[in-house]
Amino acid sequence: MKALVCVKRVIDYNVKIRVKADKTGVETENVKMSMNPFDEIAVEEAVKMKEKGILNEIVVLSIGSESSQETIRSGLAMGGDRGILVKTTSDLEPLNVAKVISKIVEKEKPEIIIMGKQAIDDDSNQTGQMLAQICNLSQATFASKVEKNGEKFDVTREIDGGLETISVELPCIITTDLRLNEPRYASLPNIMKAKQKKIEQIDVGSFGLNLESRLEIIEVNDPPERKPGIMVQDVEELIGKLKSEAKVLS
Amino acid sequence: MNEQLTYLIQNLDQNEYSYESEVISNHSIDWRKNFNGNASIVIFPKSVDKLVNVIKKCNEKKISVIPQGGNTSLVGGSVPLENSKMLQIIINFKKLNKIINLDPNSFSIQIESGCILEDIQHFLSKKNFYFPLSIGSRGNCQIGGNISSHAGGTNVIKYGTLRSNILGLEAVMADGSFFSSMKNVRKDNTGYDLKQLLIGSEGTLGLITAANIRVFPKPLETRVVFGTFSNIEDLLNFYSKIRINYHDLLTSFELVNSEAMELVIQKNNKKRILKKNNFYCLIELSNFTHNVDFFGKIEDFFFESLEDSEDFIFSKSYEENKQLWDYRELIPIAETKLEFCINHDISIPLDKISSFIKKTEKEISLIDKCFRIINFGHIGDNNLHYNIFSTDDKKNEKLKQKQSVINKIIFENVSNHGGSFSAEHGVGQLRIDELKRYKTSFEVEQMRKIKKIFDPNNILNPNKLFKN
Ligand SMILES: Cc1cc2nc3c(=O)[nH]c(=O)nc-3n(C[C@H](O)[C@H](O)[C@H](O)COP(=O)(O)OP(=O)(O)OC[C@H]3O[C@@H](n4cnc5c(N)ncnc54)[C@H](O)[C@@H]3O)c2cc1C
Repeated sequence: MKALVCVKRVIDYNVKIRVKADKTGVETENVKMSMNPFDEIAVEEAVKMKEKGILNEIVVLSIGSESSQETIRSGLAMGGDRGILVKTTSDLEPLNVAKVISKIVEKEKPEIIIMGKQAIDDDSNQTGQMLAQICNLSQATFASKVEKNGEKFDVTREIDGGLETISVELPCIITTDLRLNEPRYASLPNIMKAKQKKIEQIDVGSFGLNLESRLEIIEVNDPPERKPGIMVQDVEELIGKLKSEAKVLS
Repeated sequence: MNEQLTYLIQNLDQNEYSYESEVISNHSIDWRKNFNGNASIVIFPKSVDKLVNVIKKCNEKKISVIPQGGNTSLVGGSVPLENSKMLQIIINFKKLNKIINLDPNSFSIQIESGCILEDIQHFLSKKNFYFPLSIGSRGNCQIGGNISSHAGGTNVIKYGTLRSNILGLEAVMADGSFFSSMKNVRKDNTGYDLKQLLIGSEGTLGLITAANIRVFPKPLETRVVFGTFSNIEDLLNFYSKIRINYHDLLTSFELVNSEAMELVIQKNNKKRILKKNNFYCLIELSNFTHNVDFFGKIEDFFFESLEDSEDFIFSKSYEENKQLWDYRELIPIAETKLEFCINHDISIPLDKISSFIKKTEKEISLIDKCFRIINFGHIGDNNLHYNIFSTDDKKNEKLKQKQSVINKIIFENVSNHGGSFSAEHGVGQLRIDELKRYKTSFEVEQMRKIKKIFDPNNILNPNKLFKN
């Protein structure tokens, strides 16, 4: 069985985001980039499946600039077999990302596609679902547990107020939630092996897709700054402030 | 309230002092809970003027002043004495905590002494600068405490000691006079450099109120490598190799021995991520320039230089950097969960570390084979935290009884290997005897004379460093 795992290069989770002075986006120059944490979980899940003998090939796909190769290499160092980089210099919105992935799905015909439920940069949480529609595949989103059951997968999903287990037929798309697994560290020998693995490069233009943006970013702003806390001298002052300023008491 | 105290606080605002017993006792016990003194009041001055006012009165009435920052001293330096005949007060600097000015052109920052180290780090990081000091207690300790105890930490290897990065200091002296040497210049050869005496003086010569410190450009990217070695020689050889090839891009090189690793895994519920081995090392490398494929080349270098690279992990993200650093930084926390442990902070010249470790370990195990060594620290700076515990809790009593024998073994071996009995934690109350024994009598005599000149009434942190 073959898996396609999609990974996105995003600003590292621990970096403090700064909005560009002209408010057109966020500062990415000289900023540490890493693999989207949800995608790391997706790679880990695929590698585990391969270790269990469920999969025999893991293809790691990224759509982005030349530097996204680094992100693919990370996935290969964790245990992916080969990579595909779809090169583009523009920022694609979720629908366009799904369209591009659908072309790779046509080409590679994976039985299972694993990807993060969302990327931490725009938090869209749309690509997996859109891809399922375009390719007409079953989908299991927000997975916190995945188990093979005969020819199907039982997937436990994190939903409001609890867990839901569904059974999906192949081929399918699984989008990962945080609790699915703990991604492994990359060992030096595996990093070295990853350097030898093949990364195929495809120009996004070669698909002949209409990738025009339907969304327009008007302005990006910092969240309002949190006011610093104040110290009160005694309970009376506290109650006073809760009434007069916080207005949570009357 | 005592008459003298009433006089002391005359000019202070109500939130500049506390004599509630709970507040006093919190401030009177040290981080490791080994020293518990008694003070009459804790004062939190909000300005230098207020501090000057209090110190003048203390000098006049011969009241002992215990300067205190974050109270993370590991040698009992920041707490009052247990049996003092003098009235003791604690001056805590937490309210003197303004960041005065960052000068981006001359790469320097002026800060008040009560600024918490981590706050300074965050402030600078937002502005793409980097502070040349980082230690495990950064969330609590204050820069004034760091300067007074001349803290070391994990990145001396790259940025040099704190002393080498301090451009200026301000302090209130024992008689209440104000010492200011805050020139924002690198070069100032104008006679004796008095601020050097204050650095590392552990609050015995003056009360530091502000400093001007060099800052550095923030690295573009930092990665952590965590790996294992079966013997210390290979680890040290590898250190030399990296140092030669990457010198100032190496931002940390830390040692963790097998006992330290097992302790963190057990006491802090950490996952085992590397095969069990005798030694682990945590290496941090940073990219400061726009080198293409910087870390790719480092991976190649590691792979080629290591005989066995099986058990080496390279971090992929800053989250992993943090997770890997945990294995090193949680060791002191894990140690506090031990019933008993003898702590040492020593330095040994690099070429003698292996001989020291082997000899000392053997001698201690001869006393009892349950007595083991938690050995970790900034090995790139020749610095070892070298702590003895018993694998069998029933032998803790015996370990306590043997403490002085064990200390003697360690200190004699340190001295014979040309090292220091206190590398970064200082002397405080804990290492008074060792200072007397292992420093030359000439040095001790000069230190006493200096103390007399600066503090003739012996009010500043008395009976720390040496008995007065
Ligand atoms: C978990 C942990 C990890 C640590 N790691 C390291 C490490 O890696 N490297 C290292 O060097 N140390 C380390 N330490 C020891 C300690 O944190 C440092 O010595 C630190 O610099 C002390 O700062 P502080 O503000 O807590 O000072 P305090 O403990 O409050 O005081 C330290 C000394 O300075 C004096 N003092 C404090 N403020 C002033 C002032 N404004 N003017 C004059 N004198 C003053 C005190 O009287 C005392 O003698 C560690 C401690 C802990 C608990």
